[in-house]
Amino acid sequence: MKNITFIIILISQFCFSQQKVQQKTYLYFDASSDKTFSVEVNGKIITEQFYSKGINKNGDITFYINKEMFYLKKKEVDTCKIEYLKNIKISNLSNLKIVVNKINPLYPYKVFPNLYLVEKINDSIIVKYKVKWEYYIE
Amino acid sequence: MKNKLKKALKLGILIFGFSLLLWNCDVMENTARQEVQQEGTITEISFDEFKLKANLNNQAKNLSRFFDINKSSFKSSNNYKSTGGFENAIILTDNIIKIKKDNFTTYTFTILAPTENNEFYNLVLYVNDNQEIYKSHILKYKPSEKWLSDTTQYFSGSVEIINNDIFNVNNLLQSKTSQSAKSSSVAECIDDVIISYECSNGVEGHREGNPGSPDCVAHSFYYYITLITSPCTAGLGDDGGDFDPNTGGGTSTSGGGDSGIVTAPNTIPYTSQLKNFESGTLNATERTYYNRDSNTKNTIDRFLIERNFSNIAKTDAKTALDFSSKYKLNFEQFNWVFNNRDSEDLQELKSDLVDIGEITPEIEGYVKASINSEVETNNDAEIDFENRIINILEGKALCVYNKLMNSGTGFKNAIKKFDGKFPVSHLKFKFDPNMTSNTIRAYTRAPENYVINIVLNGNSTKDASYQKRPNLLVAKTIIHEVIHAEMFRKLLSLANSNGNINVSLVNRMLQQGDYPGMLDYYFRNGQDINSNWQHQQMATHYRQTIGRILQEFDTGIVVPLNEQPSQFYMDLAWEGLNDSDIIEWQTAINQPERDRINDVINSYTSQHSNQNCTN
Repeated sequence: MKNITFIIILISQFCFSQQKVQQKTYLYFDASSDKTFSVEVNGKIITEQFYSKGINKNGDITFYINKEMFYLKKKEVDTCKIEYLKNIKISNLSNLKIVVNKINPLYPYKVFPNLYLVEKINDSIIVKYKVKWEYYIE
Repeated sequence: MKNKLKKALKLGILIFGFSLLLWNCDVMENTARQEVQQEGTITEISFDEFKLKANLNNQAKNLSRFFDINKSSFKSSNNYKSTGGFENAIILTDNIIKIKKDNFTTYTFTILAPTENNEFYNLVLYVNDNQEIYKSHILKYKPSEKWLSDTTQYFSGSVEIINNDIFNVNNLLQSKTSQSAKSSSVAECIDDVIISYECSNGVEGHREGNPGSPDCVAHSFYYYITLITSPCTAGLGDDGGDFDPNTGGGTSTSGGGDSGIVTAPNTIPYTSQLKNFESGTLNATERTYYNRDSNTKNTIDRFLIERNFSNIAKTDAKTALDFSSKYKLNFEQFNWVFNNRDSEDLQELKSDLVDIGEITPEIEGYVKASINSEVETNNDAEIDFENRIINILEGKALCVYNKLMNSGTGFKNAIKKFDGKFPVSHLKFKFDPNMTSNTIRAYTRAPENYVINIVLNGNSTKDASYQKRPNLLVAKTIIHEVIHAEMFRKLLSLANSNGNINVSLVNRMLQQGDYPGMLDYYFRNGQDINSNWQHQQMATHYRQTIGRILQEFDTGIVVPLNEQPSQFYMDLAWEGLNDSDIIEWQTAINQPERDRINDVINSYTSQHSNQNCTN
């Protein structure tokens, strides 16, 4: 009996650890948003787009949400039906940032290795980008 | 007498036993012969046999040029060195799987093409009784971990149908059937995989533990699969069909039309030659590296096949594997090494490495970063091995950088901290031509694998870009970022974890007082490594250094260490540190002085915008 209990605990622990490893985190990337934030530059206030992305010649993309930078290698893109959104939880960047600052602020991608940006393309399609959250200092 | 009788009896039993054994062997041999004599549904055939069964000339004009036997014409029409895409796919002809059904026969070829995660491609051709190739499919197989750990087992994994983006032609087959199928462009997804077993004596429908009759007396079985397909649901893609013939399941099928895709995974290209290369030419380390990544293996295999396993080809392959395994290169880096095996860039790198001798993790990191930069710039990166600086700046940014290096000693001394005599971390300068920000002039990243990246805003449409900003302020930006890099270098020297900063260790060490200077700023600014402590420290302690280098850059005259730089250069040094959350900016000077400094910077920027740089 003891052995069976031990095995059950071992299996459940294994399953739990597997789930943890594969946990995915999603952030919304709203390219159509007009939202901005302010930056102070040499005494002047300049506004920047809250969501922006720069596409490289090789297809890689650098996303910015507020001041955070996310890097996409061209291959890690997935197109899904909009219904997919029902199955996932979109996280709040500020909350993730708190976790990152606590655990490993210089390498955020190590804290959230399975991070996806979700962008709505039209009323029926979304695109998922698997991104690397990069730290930088200006 | 009795003893003689006993001996004779023993001898008789022995002879009888032997004859029985021989008779059994004969029966087994006969059974084996029967196995061979009975033609099965599934057989392996040569390309010559395939050509007898299928008419290549009329139905498959596009196809012919991709066969490995026509590789010389294939090579002349493609850039061989560009191995990143599918355009270099080859159809291997040495081992073809033939599956004979009532109304059609399928022929499955291995396609040699770059893949990921040990995946591989097959081409399935359908041939009718008139020997016409009338349909084709390209399948992608993803092996299971179980099969990868023992490839002598029957293949197991998943399979999916892919569109013809492997071969750079619109229609792989010229037949009407295939054209209409392609033009409909409805992707097919796999609903089910039916496994059909066949005894190696040709009897269908049996394997151990699988329902089917009659019982198989042969020692092994073959199997083929029928992929049941339907149009894909838009947007959701194809998850592929999983199957494992080793664990039973499946059913026996017979005859019928050609609904579903009938095939068997063809996993073995040029087996014997490649095995000989692997075991006879490579040492253990090279062999491990060769088998570590399917893309590396595919690249080498294709190269050897195209060059008919010549000794020169084998030596080239071995040399690239030797170098790549030593420095633990990934596939992209290996690919650069392999494709540039005769280039000056690689020879220079190798000769620098010979001079250094020992391979440390830091050297390994620098080699990788150097190769990455060559890949990124298409062999246009400047690699300064002595100073351990990788420079992929260009135009005005490169000009300003070179001027900084040639003016005075201040900048050179700052940069020196990253050279080979201080083996902690190294610098890489680059620019981002697509940076979306109008305020980020440049940024520095924490070290990764011993290399610190400094990235300049190279988007010429942005006010913060190096193109729009005055040369003197571009120089200031570079100095500012090099100081960040120096701070990271110090952190890395305190807590190095494979060339990355071990943040938790830094936290512990700083709190234990192991680095008083940094600790002071660290505690005063929120005990958070991500807070503004670097800028606080720079504003308080580094402005004079920045001002001095700027004055030397602008005037070409060295500013002695016992003299302060001119006020103008000290004003410019504030840029990037003149934010409301910087304590020194708020406390050391009053508001009129802050306004004056901002005016100096803004006026200089507007007066010298879009300035050219000439050496």
